[in-house]
Amino acid sequence: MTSQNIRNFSVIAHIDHGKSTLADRILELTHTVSKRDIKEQTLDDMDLERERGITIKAHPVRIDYKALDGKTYMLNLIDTPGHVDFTHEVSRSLASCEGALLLIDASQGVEAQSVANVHLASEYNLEIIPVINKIDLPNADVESVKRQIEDVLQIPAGDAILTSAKTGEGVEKVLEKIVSDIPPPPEPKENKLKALIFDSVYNTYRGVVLYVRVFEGGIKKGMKVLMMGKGKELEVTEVGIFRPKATSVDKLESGEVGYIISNIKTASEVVIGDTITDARSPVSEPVAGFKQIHPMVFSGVYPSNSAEYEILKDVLDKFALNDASLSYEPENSVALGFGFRCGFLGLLHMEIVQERIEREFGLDIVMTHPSVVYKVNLKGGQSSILIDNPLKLPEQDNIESIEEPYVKVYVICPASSIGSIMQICRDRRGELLQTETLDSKRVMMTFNIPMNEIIIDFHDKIKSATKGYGSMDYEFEKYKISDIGKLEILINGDPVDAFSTLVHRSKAETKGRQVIEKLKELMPRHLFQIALQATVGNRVIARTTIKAMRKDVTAKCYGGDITRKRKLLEKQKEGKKRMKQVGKISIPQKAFTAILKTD
Amino acid sequence: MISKPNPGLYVHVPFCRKKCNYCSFYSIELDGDKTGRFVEAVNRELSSHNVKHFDTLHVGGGTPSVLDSDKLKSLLSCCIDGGCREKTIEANPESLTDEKLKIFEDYGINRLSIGLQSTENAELKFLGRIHSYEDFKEAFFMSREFGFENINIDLICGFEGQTIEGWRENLYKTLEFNPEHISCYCLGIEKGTPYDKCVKDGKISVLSEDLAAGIFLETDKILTRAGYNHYEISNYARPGKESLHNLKYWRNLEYLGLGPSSWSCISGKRWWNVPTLEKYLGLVENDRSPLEGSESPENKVKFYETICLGLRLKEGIDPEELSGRFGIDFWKIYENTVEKLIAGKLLVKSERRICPTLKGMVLNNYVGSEFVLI
Repeated sequence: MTSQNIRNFSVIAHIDHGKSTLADRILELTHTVSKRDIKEQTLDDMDLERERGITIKAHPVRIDYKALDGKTYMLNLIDTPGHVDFTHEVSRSLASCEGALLLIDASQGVEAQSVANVHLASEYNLEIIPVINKIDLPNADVESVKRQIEDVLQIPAGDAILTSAKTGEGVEKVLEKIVSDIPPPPEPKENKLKALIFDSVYNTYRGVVLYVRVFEGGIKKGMKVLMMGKGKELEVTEVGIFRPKATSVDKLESGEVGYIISNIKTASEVVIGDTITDARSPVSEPVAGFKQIHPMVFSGVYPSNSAEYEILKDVLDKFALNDASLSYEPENSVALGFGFRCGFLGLLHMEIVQERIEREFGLDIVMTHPSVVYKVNLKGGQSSILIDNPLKLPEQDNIESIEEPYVKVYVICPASSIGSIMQICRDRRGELLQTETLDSKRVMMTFNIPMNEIIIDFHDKIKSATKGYGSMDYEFEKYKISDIGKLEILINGDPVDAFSTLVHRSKAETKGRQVIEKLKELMPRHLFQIALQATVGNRVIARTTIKAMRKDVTAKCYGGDITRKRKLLEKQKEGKKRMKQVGKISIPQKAFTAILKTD
Repeated sequence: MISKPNPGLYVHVPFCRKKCNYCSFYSIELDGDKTGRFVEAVNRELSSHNVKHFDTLHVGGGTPSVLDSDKLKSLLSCCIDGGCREKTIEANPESLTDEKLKIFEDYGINRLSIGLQSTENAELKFLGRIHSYEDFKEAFFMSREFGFENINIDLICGFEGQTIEGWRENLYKTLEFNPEHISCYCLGIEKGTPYDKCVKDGKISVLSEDLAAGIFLETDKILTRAGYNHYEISNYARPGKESLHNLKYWRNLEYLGLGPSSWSCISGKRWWNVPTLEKYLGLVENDRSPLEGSESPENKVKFYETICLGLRLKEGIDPEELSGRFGIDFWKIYENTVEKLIAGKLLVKSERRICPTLKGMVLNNYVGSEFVLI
């Protein structure tokens, strides 16, 4: 097939706007998957994806489509995650396409994630085809959605395709539009292999499987290739495509999308975004424009049961096989023992990793207060360091200034919630940049907010302030000098490392008081009195005490009480065992996570 | 080798004239028709067991003294065993009549347990009791006149509005009777009781931990000074008058329970009867066992259970005796635990025994849970 008949495209959409259902209909209509084999949402593999309705991993699928012009086209659908945390995945998926479908729910209109993703697609100069979905819903308002697409996203929407992925209406028009509007892959300049690794998955039997988009030349089994960034040579043992099941083929040609298998054992041996070329005749320049993404949020991850450190290590190793964006290195804490400092792309990523560790691997973990990456400018010179852990903050005397990351946050919400959203953002040191009206009921507000202020429960707050109607997304803006101090929690005079956080000084007192009050509520009484203090620098900003335990006894214990009493004591012992010991003090595990949500 | 003592016998009489607000024991309002059937059923249940000889007898409830004379006679005639060293019956002041005391005497009851609960009429009302302090006084002196020389008085402390001063007054007034035994129960909030509901509805509040602890310590001070042996967390006795029956529970020895909701523990097995009179009668009257469930805890569990129970007693535990009884090396497992609890002034060593301090008693759950093996 000539590359003139190839169309590589992604679908960008907000969560729940029907992306996976549309993909299913396309697969069905083109007989890529028989109707019988379609589980709902074929492209979403993991349970968590189905439950949360999000796609975490991008799955490329090859589709043969016989268009109305009589010609058969090869369509490569590269699925993308819908949340900005996975910007890097969206971004590399987009880097392997020439066009994208922008899918908008006719009853919901443009949402924050669509805004962020359209910005990304524009950066890659993709042809964007607006598709208005769910037109069968009684509250669909196509005209208003068209206006929003034009006003907010600056995309002409006059001939947007109207679909109902559920009923299949309009899906064929989408396919025709892909063929007519999305450009074929550009003609290769030279015939040397140049392919982009846009993702990888780990398979127990095959090792790491690389998803690639070939830009120039071709790749086939037995070929010796070079990963240009890593400088590492590989022998290709299999080349294939997804239909949607992996099917091996002889060769992937210029413009095509598929997978290659080589003898790669772990995901860390591969850099997503790296360029593959012929080891014997390499190209001089890699594929342009793909940025490596760095983790934005860090947190200490510890096994609940200290004896499970090795298990946690194995779990993280396994995790990293599939998720090259997760970083982790050993750290230890006086309170929590041995664990890992993990770096995540964002909040959702952090939550997903936590949930998967607990669910898929059945491991109980404790996570410490997440931190963003601060830039600390040191005195007496131009040097500055990046700090992702409050414990690594240099002595105050050596610090010239501290910079914290700011993000641009988009919030789309009902006009009636403007007041409460403003309040939430103001409380979090946010600055309103602009408010745009989307339709008669909704607005889009854009804020500048320190990232630190949105990493805990910002999204939940937005959701509850808008009764679930609001959506938000964010993108990194810049570092700004800020008045940051280290908040420490002292128990009987000794700082407990796992409770340390970096905070803006204007927030320190409130935060400190909240934390110790929460601790007072959660910590059991001990045989002795416990003093809790919150400090910034050496200044105590809040204090309280937990009185000594005075009475803990069951008054009556006769025949029938004995079994009940034994069970009570067993439960009590179980509870004691689950606590973390800091010197003579026992701290319940939930204290470490409960202090995250203090208001 | 010392021969094993006979088990204790407990009979649960599930009738009361009126149910008290705080009580979670099973009882129903007195029903003349059912009392006869109940007594007959107890008789049948007893004869279904192989155990025939008992070391102690405790007729509790409920309020055994509400049974009429005929029923009392037939109940006592079936469960009195000549070899019993201690024969106790529980009674409430309002139903402890001349006639009933006579029956008790005739059947060899040698210990009475009278529920006074409080010496203040206002408090009695709050607790939902139907007798007055004066009723008690009368019942107590009448019992003495009958020659009962071993009487226990039940008191309740630690309820809303109580002060240390008020409680002291209760104790001093109780001491005026010079009873052989005093049980002081700190009011617990038992699930499903009217009291529990009031607490949940916010109508009454729970006494603070500090005040409750203060009351406990004050009780110990006053009663010990008056010559009582604080031999169990909630129990005080003149030396030699400790309850032999109740000691069986705390030493984790054997006992047979009869009647609805009663518990038994014999030969390492523990079982419990169906919880209501209706179910109980329905089974026993049809010659079926009233057993609802049973457990046979593994040796290790019985081992720590015995330790936890033993540490309710001032006499504490004898590690060597326990090691022998369960075939588990006490010191190998608990050396550090005991050391830590001694350092925390919760336990003391007394010759070969390990005993709780007063602090160890008031923190009994904390201490006990340290010995749980999981």
